[in-house]
Amino acid sequence: MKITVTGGKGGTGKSTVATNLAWILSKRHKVVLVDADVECPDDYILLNSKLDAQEDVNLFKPKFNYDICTGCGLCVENCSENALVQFKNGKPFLMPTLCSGCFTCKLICPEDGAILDDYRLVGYTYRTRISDTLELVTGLLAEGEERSYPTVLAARRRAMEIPADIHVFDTMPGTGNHVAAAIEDSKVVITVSEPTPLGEHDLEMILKLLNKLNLKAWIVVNRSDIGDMERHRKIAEKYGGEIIAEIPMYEEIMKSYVAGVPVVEKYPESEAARIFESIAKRIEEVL
Amino acid sequence: MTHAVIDMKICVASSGSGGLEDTVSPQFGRCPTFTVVEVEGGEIRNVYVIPNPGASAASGAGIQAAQTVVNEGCNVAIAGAIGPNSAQVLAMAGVDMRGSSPIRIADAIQQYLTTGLPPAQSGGGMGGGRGMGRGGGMGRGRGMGRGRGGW
Amino acid sequence: MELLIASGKGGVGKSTITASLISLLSKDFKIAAVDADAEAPNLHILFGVHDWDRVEEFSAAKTAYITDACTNCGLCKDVCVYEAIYEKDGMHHIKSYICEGCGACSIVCPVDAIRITDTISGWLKVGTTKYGPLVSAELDVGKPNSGKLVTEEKKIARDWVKEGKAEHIIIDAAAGIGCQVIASISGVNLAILIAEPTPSSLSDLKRMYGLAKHFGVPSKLVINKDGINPDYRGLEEFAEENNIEIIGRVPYDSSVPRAITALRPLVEYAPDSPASRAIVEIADKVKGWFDAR
Repeated sequence: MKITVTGGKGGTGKSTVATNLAWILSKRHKVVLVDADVECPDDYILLNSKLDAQEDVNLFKPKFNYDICTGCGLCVENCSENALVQFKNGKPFLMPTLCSGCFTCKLICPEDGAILDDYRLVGYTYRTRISDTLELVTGLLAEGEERSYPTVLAARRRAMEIPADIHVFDTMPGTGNHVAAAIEDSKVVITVSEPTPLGEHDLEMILKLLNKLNLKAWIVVNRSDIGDMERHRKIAEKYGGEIIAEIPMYEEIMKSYVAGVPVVEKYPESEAARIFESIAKRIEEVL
Repeated sequence: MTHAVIDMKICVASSGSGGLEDTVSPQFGRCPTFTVVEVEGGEIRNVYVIPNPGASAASGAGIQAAQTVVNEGCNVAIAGAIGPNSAQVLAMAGVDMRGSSPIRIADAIQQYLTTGLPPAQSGGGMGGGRGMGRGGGMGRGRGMGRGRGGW
Repeated sequence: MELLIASGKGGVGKSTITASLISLLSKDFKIAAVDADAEAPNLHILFGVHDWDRVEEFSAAKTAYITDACTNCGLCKDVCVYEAIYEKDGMHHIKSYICEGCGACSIVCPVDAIRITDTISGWLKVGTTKYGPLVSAELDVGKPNSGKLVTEEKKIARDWVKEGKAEHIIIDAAAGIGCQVIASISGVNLAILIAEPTPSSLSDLKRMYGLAKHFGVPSKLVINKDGINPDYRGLEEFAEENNIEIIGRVPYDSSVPRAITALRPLVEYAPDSPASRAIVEIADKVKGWFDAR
């Protein structure tokens, strides 16, 4: 079963929720936690571990064999990213940073062998063993790379190859296809938000995406004591989401965050731990 | 310094529908039109306007714009600023890039032909490991597209 | 004058500072505000805008769809590197929230059953705040920001300047490093780069600085959340190496989240807070630049 923890903006406590849930669930099930927040993956820090078993994420890019290329220009015309340039009477060449690796140029090229496969490094995936029943797969975007989608996809693939009872995905902020790719096919989607005007806007955006994917949201409101919960409830109602937990600012969460240990482990008797435990129970009911 | 160029095709990024009365666009890649000015013996011989396909491109606007200008046979490009992608393509084709404030295009041309215009901000690269993709099969692209305009 | 406020990735307090600067500067100048951060637009929220004067659909993205001619051969599914095509009950479908419209599927389709069309990528929004006119944008879910959208927004603001509705433009830059950022920065007179004292923020700063430099746009640095990482000197070292003036240090301040909750610019909500005082000093510098033009 796949569950996803997401939320509009960064810094709302998504990773805290994802790591704590994965930790509790791994006490009773085999769990793979997937950190798909490839721009800024920090689940491994929250679990006080490191990134192991690096694999490169390579994206196709065309390499021209100019002995075969006739300069017909079909690849240039069909490149939706405008990553190919061709001067009059010349032959095409690539602006690599714009290339999305879609293969369209190669598919449309009428000359066999004029476009060869080349690759560029866009990211990395890692696999870290946290315990006998908890593994962490992390995606990390290469320095200076902007396309996050291929690395999210690679992390997803690597994680899904590991047999487990539950795959817990921690997504990037936003509502782009890099988030959708992590969310789709989830049995449970947990959105983490804050009861502030900006948080409300982000919640609305993510609920719109979930409606498009026909998924129901379980809403976890973090720092629920800093703002207006009533407005949050209205938004939840409007888009058919359910607020399943409200987590006020707890000192234990802050302390365990700094210590790199999930709060459910460091302060198992705390109110915060009890809330995470109750969310985990609800997930197990779906299992 | 007078530019003793006999035959020249100048492309000016234009803010509106183009022409000598339009103003120089602050940007190159997404300006709506290019005013192309053909110069012979320091005199304007012909002026025409071409649309900039980069204006409506979702991505790679600068590349489309630069490619259009190169394929039009221009050897000088004038704009407020020329982006990294455009600059790279223009540089490969040997187009001289000049910067101008948003003044009347006729005045910018006059200035270019008499006192000259400063080099456009370009070629500085973006630094920071971003890499503007130099290399990678570009050697083959050089020197093409010079068929028109003559030197 | 066109002033850009940029930071690379989000979460470093760019909008808080932008909103406060606009609030302060609008007392002396007519300011047009541009929210180019369409992936997380929030100036309108911080300024309490609920009703827009004008909302326009905006199309800068493409997507593929499958027509009835489809024979369900599955070739399209195999070539889609985005894994956007799936088969259900023997029929093939394209997930519009994944598809980027590259067109690979339409090339391999043997019966020409796949069309690529323009799709709505978002909405361009024009409104009025008590600080002056605002142009903003919102993206449809799953759609990327684009340079085209940012260029349209800036064009609207430049028209306001031409019509005399505004004297200066302040742009809250798009996040990221792609063409939306290039479009944000091109043609501006000055960039205020906001960074926090962390290595990842420094790496964003370097990229933004490099891009500004390419365009010949002078950069100034504001260090936000100053003091959260007292041993870290990376920002200062980078500023020194590149001769970038540090025009302000905004300390970490607990009134910031409260101001956001109260929907008011920080300098109005907590004018005496340390962060507000730092922003007032930055605004005074900006005033000097505006006056000089």
